[in-house]
Parts: sequence; C-alpha cells; structure tokens
Amino acid sequence: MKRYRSSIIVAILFFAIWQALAMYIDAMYILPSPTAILEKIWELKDILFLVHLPATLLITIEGLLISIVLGVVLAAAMNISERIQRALYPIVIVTQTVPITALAPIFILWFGYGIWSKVLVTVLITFFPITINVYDGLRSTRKDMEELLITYGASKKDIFMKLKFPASLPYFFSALKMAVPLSVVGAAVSEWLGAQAGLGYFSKRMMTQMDGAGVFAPIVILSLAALILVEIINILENKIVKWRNEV
Amino acid sequence: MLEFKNVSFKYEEDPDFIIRNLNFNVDKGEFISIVGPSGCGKSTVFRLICKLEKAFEGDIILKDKNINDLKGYIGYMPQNDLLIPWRTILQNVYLPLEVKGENLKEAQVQAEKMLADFGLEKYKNKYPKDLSGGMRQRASFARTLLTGAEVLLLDEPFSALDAITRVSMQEWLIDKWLALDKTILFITHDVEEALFLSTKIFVTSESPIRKFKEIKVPLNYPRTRSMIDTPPILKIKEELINELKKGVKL
Repeated sequence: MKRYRSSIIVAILFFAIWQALAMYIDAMYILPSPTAILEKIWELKDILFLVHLPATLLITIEGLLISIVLGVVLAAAMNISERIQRALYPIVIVTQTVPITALAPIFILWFGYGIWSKVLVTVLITFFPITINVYDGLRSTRKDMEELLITYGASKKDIFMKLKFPASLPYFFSALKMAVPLSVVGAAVSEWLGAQAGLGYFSKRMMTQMDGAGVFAPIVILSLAALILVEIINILENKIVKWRNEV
Repeated sequence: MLEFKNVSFKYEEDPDFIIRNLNFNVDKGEFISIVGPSGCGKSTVFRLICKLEKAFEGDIILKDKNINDLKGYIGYMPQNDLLIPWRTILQNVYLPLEVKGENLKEAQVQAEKMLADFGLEKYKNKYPKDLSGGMRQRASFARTLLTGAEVLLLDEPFSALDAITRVSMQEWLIDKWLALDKTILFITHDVEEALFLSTKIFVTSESPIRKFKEIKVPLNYPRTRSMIDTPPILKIKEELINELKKGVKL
C-alpha cells in the first residue's frame, strides 16, 4: 500500500478538484461529477455489467488473442528469415500510419455489425506493439550465448527454443501490458462507430441523450477492466519471468 | 590429439590475415596455456577450433578427424561464465547433454554428480545471480565438462575474478585436470598463471600469428606457488615477458 501512497494522494486530489469543478459548473451534461458517475454505475449496474461489459470484453479478449498469435508468428518469422524480415517489417510499420479508427466504418461496411469488424479494429491496433516487442526480444539474445550453444552442436531450432524464446518473454509481457489497454480502447472505439451492444456503444447512446454521467460510467468501467487485465498480466509475469532485469 | 595444419584466417572486414600458415600440435593430456598480448588473435584460434569461424585455408584435425566432419566435439568455456539467467544451476550444467538430445533424467543425474564433485550441490536449484563469481565459474566449468569432450578450451576463465578467488580457482582447476584426464588449452595474458598451471606454454607476440614459441614448464604436479619463484622458472618468466614485450604497441 505504501508503494501506491503517492498515486492515491494524486488521484484523491484529482477527483476532489473534479467534484468541486463539476459542482461549480453545475451542468451534468457537460461535466458530471465523480459521485454522479458512481451513482449512475450503481443505477445501471445490471445492464452495464451483465450486458455491455461482457460484449466489450469478448471483443477485447478475442482481439488480444488473435493479436498475440499474429504478433508472435510475425516476430518469429522475421527473426528466422532475413528475407521475411525485409518483406514484412516496413508493412508492419505502415499499418500503424493508417488512421485505423477512420477505417472502422469501412470494416463495418465489409463485415457488418457483428463482432468481426470490431475484432479487426482491435487487432490492427494491438498486434503492432506485440510484433515489434517480441521481435526485439528475439534479437536480444547475446551472441556469445548463441555461439556457446553452437559449440554444443545446437541446431537453429535448439537456439530458438532454449535461448531466443525464453529471452523474449520479458519483452512479450511488456508488449502485453501495452496491448491490453490498447485492445480495450480498440474495442470501445469500434463499438462507438457501430454496434448493438458494448460499453462503447452504450457511451455513445448516452451521448445522444445528453446524459453526461451515462457517457462517463462505461468509460470508468473500461478503465477498471484494463487495470484489472494489466494486473493479471503483472502477476503472470512475476511468476513466469523471475529473472527479469538480470539478463 | 589436436593439430593445426597450415591454418590461415582473416576476418572478412579486415584486409590483413590474423593467423597465417599456423602449425601446432597438442598431445593428449597436456595443459597448454596460450599467452600473447591482447588482440593478437589468441581467441581467434579458439573460435577456429570451435568452428565459430571458418579457416581461410588449412586443416584443423582432432583425433585424426577434420573438425569439419564433427559436431559437438569440443568443450568451450568462454571468458564470461555465460550461465543462462532463467535456468537453475542444475539446468545450466546439463544444457550440453540436453542439446545432444540425451534423456533429461539421466542428464540430470550426471549433472548432479558433477555439481556434488564441485561442491555446488547446495546451489543446484539456485539461479546464477545467487552465486559468487568463483562458484559461477565452477558451474560453468562443470557444464563444459558435461560436453563430454576430451579437449577443453578455456578462454581467460578467471580474468574477471578477484585476486584471491583467482588463486584458489587455479589450484582447483589443476586438481580437476589431474583427476579427469582431459587435454586443456587455456588462454591467458597472465604469465604467472600460465607458469603455475601448464605443462607447456605457447607464446606469440607477432601479428599475424605464424607460429607459437613453445616453452616447456619443467615442474611436476602437484605444484605450489613457491615453485614458480625458483631460478629456472624465473628465467622462463623473464623470457616470456621479453617475448611478449615485442608485440606490445603502446
């Protein structure tokens, strides 16, 4: 708890100022107070937590899983073959220069209002940090360690499995911690642009009703969901990558 | 046991040869130190033996076979212990056996025995970060031995250790060599270390290396520190230092 003391103080100050400002402005549709948002969450808890949160989480998790597979496969392929690396690396970079949120309506046109148009937006946003980080991780192995394994008669596969793969794990976890909030954002934005359920969709619907607290309520839940997911990854990381910072 | 036949080598990016028509022969069971100034190409000799570099011309023969036809034939111990941080000491030590595809359980038994011989059994489930420099080098040497190779190449293994640990590691290494029937090639730039450890010293100061001057150390084992302070050894030491001075560029 001591570790978080300063961030708790900053958060309390932030919310106190927000509360004061909201009470001063006194226009809920422009700036709802934190207490009003909490009240709203409580009031709509059933529909928010049982309908819209699962819808968004489904997109987030599916997008994240596809991104992990895609990112790891791309990174491994680029590490194994220089030719593949030269062919793919620029394309991976270019995908990030495209304003993906602007493309979302086109995806909806192509794939309809179902889940896949939204998963695609999420994947396009999240696979990038995973690919680049895992690729860097695979390259991070020490040349002299690789050479030592070669003197034992190790094949390329041995070097990959016994050296490169474990060495890339800390990078993989860093990438996940970046990718999780991005996937939540990706899911929410795509819902905002066209969906029939989900926290992003709900927030947009409240916007049309000029319900400030209703707009913020799903956003708060989204942030909490991302926080919890990142914390789960932290726990996994501490269990799996005990040697971190010692390489 | 190990023979260099007219071996020449140059790094691709370098216009000059670093090794030129080098010939030497190492007999079974010898402990040979290679001494030379920094950057003269001592480590390159090891890299060639390990096939980490390919000779430009000439042959390297190990037990009557060209090394080009061999795989996993050498025990190479680099300067840095290079223990893998995410593996326990035990897992690090049986790595060569694991790479060879041996049964993991048997590999583990062999590694445990080796660690017990080396006084490291208590640390088998610890990670490299939990061990002192000397212990890490012992674990690294245990791993080198588990390659099963008859020829061991030790590249300045004690250079990163403090003076006291270094002295005891030298004595420890001699004990192990006497007990294990291995042929050792040992790179060092420390003349006293070479004199204390080896049966023979290969010294070079020229670049490219064309030949090693071979100096026999007329001492029996077990050795004590005081033995290297006797007049005939001091004379060899002076000779070695004079030879090395020729190659030093300030």
